[in-house]
Amino acid sequence: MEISRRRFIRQTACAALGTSSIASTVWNLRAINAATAQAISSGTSEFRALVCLFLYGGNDANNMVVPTDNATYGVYANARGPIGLAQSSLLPLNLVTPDPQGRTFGLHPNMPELQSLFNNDRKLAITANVGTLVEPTTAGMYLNGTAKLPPQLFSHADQQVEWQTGWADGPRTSGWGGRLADLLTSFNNADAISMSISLNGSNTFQVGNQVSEYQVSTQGPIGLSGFGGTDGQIRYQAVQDLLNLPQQNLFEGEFAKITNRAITNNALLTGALSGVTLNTPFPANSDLSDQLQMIAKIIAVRDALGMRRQIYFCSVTGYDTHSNELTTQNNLLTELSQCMNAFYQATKELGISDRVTLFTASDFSRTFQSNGGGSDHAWGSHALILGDSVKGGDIYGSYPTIAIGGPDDVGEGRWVPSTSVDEYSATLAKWYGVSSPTDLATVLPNIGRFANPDVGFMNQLPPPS
Amino acid sequence: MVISANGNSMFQHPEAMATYWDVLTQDAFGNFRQLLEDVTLNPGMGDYLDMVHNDKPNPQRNTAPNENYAREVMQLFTIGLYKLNQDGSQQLDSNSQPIPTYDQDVVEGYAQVFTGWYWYQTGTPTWNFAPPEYRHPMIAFPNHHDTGAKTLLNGVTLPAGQTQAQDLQNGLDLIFNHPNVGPFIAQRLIQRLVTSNPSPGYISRVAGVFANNSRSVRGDMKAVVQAILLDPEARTLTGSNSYGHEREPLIRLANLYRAFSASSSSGKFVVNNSTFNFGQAALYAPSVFNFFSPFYSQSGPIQNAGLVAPEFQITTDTTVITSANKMRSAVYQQPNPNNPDTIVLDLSSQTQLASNPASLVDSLNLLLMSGQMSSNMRSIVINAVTQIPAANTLERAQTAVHLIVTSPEFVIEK
Repeated sequence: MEISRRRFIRQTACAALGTSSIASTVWNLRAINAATAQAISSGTSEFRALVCLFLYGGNDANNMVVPTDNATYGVYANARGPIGLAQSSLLPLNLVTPDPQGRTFGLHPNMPELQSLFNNDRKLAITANVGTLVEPTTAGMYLNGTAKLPPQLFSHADQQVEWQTGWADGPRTSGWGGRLADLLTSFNNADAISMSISLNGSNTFQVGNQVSEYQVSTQGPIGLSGFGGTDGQIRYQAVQDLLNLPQQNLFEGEFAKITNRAITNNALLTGALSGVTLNTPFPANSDLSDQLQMIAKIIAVRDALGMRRQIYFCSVTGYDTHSNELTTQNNLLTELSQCMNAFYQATKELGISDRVTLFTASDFSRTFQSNGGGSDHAWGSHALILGDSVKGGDIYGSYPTIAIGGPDDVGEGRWVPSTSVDEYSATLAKWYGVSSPTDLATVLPNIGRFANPDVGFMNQLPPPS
Repeated sequence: MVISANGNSMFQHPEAMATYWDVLTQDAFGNFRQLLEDVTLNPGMGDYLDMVHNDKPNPQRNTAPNENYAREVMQLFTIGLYKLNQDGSQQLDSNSQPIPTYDQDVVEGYAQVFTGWYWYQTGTPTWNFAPPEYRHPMIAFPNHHDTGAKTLLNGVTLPAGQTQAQDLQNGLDLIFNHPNVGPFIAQRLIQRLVTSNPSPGYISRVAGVFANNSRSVRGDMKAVVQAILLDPEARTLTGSNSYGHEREPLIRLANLYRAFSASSSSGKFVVNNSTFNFGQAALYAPSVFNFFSPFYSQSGPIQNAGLVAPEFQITTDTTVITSANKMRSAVYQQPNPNNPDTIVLDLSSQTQLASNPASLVDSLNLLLMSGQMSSNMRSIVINAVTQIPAANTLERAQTAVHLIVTSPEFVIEK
């Protein structure tokens, strides 16, 4: 009779003395499976990873990408008042394609690393004024009440979810990253960890109909501990038996399932990560830095894990700058610039920088008008895309007319998005390997309503062999 | 009603968190209207959601009032986004769409209501540069209150020229009397105290008590909690496979400590690395949305059954392991003379039962699981305890407690 995998793990576990030996045992098991399974290519040409970096709270992108020509900067300074940045402090962006209106732009003064990646390496692109939409929408349609609008604009939780589902008026039961994983998970060894890996807990982006996300801590996977000695083995056996009891109650069953999955995946990933080396320095004292560093390490062991496709989620909080905005954003954007750069350099070190694309997302941007010390919830925002497959050095989409009461304003400087989250995401999904219109509509069901299923900021990779 | 020291300068002001906690404990069984006002004027909340120093519009600086507290007090603390029936279901319009409870104009109206409050001060109060004062409610600065007309809930417009106190009174009364508050609060409290997916009837019965405690008082929270805990749906074993809820990880630790009269020689209860170990720490939520959403569902069988499982939002591959490890270490923790903060359980009663594993497990079943342990689970735990040498009575007791408090049947409270 063939021994089931779980039972094998359980039996070897209770024969072992501690979790480290459990890990190595399961690691060997996976190696056996990999050897007998159809060999998959270990060449880097087959690998692709998407990294979603979510800025929770609503990044005030008005202060991240700022007009620098005198005329437009004057409008900016006047409207922003106490939260405006000094013109001379902005870091100039040298655009490959000049702005059709002749405007020039600069980055927030604390983002020199990203300025260099934009101007020199040409590996960073910006998508301007992207946001949640149900259909192409103008400020006029919003103001006269004829627009179909995303549910609950300006509400954190709703806009976070709509960015992550990529389907503003759809059901909230899956995310576009999850649906993408459903389509492409067969690229990975069936016995691998989930291709959707989260460094910061549960999220909607990675929820698929088949693939569910695997959460890893910034210190890597973590195993059950404290089961040494004879009595420890007795208890470990009992813990396993309790987890494997058939559960009538759905919640008990799910809790046991998550725990069992965590034990198995910990063993697989611990084994794989044991040989990793990564020399690129990452910023200290930053949780985001730790998240991105762990992502780089897991990418480094993709072959050992039998994975050719990975989708990551990482995030950082604190962008809800209703008050004390200048100081808070100084710190946050410093961290963002340094961490994104470190991550990019790590992918260079791994020789995989054309196969990994990082993109940012956030709840929304913030009101152009200040509330005194900060700004309030708004709508269309600017997003960053980084990697060697990115057609960097340009601002894609359309930078809004930054006039309170102007053609793009629906109130207090809330810009109606000119590019939808659907279009932004579809551009990434196409690069990731979704080729047919049918598959693209599976990932982003409303994409047919919008003009640009490809916003243009990605170079296409050759199709997988 | 959430404030947090996470990502906020109140991290350096424990008195802010303590004062806020006092408000919650003082008002938890009082009237919701009082709770709403005390939370609104609490300086910790003022700091967290920016009502403190919220100024009337300033045309020179082109500023408008801060909308943070205005939005969240409605969305998260009282009425929510959509109009509800008393049973918690959404009201629908003629196109079968949910009906928003407010729009951006109302958010801006409440932002105006909440202008003109600043730190408590002794002596002559000044609007600028006063040091944060977290122990006393915020105080009014009428010159910084927006006295214009204000668009509020249910189509009500407050006239221009009212006093700051009148605006606050009228604004909070409108929220308190909104028909959503009963079902909104009922659903969330039932989820925390009893079950993740209460029936519409259960929500409706509790919301009815919120509306009227049978003595014509609205918002009597003592009566509301009583109605939740004594409802037939809370008191009857249904056998339904979707009944119950996950105990929050940090609550599991509290359950353990309370069940066994845990103590430290210093008298302090220091729980280090709580966020890492449990995915949560007291008064340290990642945002005003708290640790998890009341609407979170878990993909798979739970979502397929149309159910929510709020606590599962922080039940990750990481926290299931770290919390199990931390619960284990809490069970076996021995007194440490070098660290007076070490928290130790009192397992003396259990140790006395250790010679009879079945008696030991049965007593713990009653104490920790309301007697709901399955016979399969009971056999596994008894079997493990029996294998521990009989002379090691403390270890036998610890083994039984450890296995129970990390088991799925304990984690899901039914």
